[in-house]
Amino acid sequence: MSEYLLVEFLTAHETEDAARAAAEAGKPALDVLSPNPVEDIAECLAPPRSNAPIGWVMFVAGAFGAAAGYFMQWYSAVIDYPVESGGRPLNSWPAFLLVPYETTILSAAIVGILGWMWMCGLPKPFHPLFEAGITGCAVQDRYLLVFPRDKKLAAWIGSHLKPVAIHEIGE
Amino acid sequence: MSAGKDPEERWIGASIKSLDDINAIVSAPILAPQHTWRWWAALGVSGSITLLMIVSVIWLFAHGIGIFGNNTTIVWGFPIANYVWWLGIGHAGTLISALLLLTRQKWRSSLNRFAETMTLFAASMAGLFPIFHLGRPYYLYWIIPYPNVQDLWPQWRSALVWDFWAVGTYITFSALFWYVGLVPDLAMLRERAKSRTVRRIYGAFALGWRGSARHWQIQERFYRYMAALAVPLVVSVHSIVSLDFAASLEPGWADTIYPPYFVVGALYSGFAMVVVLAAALRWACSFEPFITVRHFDVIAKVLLGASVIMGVSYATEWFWGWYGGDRPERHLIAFLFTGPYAPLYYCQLAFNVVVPQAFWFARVRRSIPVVVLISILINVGMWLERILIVWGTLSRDYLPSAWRIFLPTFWDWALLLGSLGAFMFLFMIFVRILPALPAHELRKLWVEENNA
Repeated sequence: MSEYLLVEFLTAHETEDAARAAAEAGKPALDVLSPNPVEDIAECLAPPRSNAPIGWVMFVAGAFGAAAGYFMQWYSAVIDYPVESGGRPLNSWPAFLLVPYETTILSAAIVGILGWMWMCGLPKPFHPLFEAGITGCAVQDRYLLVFPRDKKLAAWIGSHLKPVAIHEIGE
Repeated sequence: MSAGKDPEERWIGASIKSLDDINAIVSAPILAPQHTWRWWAALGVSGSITLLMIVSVIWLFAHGIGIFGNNTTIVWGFPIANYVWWLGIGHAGTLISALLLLTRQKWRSSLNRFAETMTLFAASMAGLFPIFHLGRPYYLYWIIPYPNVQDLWPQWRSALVWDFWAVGTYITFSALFWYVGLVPDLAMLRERAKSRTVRRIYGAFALGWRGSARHWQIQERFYRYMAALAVPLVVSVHSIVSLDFAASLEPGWADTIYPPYFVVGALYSGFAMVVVLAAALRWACSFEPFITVRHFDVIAKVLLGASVIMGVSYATEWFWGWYGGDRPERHLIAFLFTGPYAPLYYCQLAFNVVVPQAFWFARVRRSIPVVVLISILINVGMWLERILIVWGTLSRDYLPSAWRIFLPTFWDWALLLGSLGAFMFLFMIFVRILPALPAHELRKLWVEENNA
């Protein structure tokens, strides 16, 4: 589906009120494009957005990084190249904790940024919404509610939500 | 714009009337630069100093570390002190960004982008110095665990190997964290740029960001988790650096106080550098509405707190040196106060502990030139601290036959100055191609402050 109505507002408050009114009237917006995050607006959108499990992805990656960092040292110092030096244990675990500490954070961050891109659907330089010039303003100072394109819906939005303008995308 | 906050409580100046004012001011140095001759002059000066660094490095690689003042006992000279100092400066960027985000300090929004950039450049400068200090820098890769026919591994019990992991992780992590915060601003530049090529370049790096609800929802959570990782990371990095010293058995180095002492020192010198950069940006890019006198006021308070902790740390070193009763330890402290380095040591104490006490007075904290001046003194004082940590202990080791004095050479100074020039050169390029302030965070703050 690449036919949309972009309903323009000037402030975050108006956008939030409009999104709520539309959701209560059973005509929820599909998305909102905004220059800065609008609090609590996700619950007024359809389909409802569940929380993305980005934290779990990072946690698992971090745990894997920790295990891999320790395993590397253990394998190297105990199995592959054991050096007996002054009676020190081959598996000197206290000294071996610093590298896993760093690899935990490094792997959580690297996997996290990949997860962030994947969950956001980025990179995506050509999205149908970019067909409207006004979409470019949504990363600067305009708030846009996105609805499916429909004549009746446009009339209802015009009379109930008091937008600054309604832009249409599509044929 | 209905009733917003009391003007005294705001972090964004009243001259900002709309979201687009913020975008216009933040993107002006990139898309509509003014005073470009000043920028070219600064670029020219810093570029020439960078050339000095390049010449020094070529000379160093051709002739070896004998060109430095290092001698048979003072084997760690300027490069190690520069490494510790630069890395410490880097730390403030991460702390401003991450710790102030987690503690919901709103003044962070005016500082975090250029402070994070400072982190990247300062940590890069820091990362170079241990390489310069290697006798055979082309064997740097030996510290990396890689499959090799000799079947050799790095020595995992060595603090120097821990350093490699800490600094490597730190630079990589800082670059990722910085980029995630930058994406919405790159999207703004994509839309504002006039030329098609410029739009395409920013567009490619903005990854197609369109500010959708889904984007913001994931962005905010991811950014917060990254901040939660950044704080323990930054504490670990300078702690591990301090272990280079503390894991030895040398007088003055083998102290349990070293890790926290290094971390606070790092925060201290880094915040001082942020003050200098903030004042320069405020003047050069007309960022007065975003970098206000109140910002200097709060940073001065942080500096004051850190200076007190530094004072307590120095006193703790003296106390344990005396109370521990070890002769070399006692001798080292007496040597610092009375030996040939004593004038430098007194400067260190004055710049790091005494002078910043002026910040108890609100008038001092609210005068930008004075705050900048004290911050420069703090940076000098912290560099003196780093060099004296190296010189003091190595000049007065256990055996009197090993007692020597360090005399810096031209190349010691050239490389230090060169690294400052290279840092400034990179920063000058940064302010012209990327937004020095996070426009999207300032927009969010402005909406909150004006209830829009």
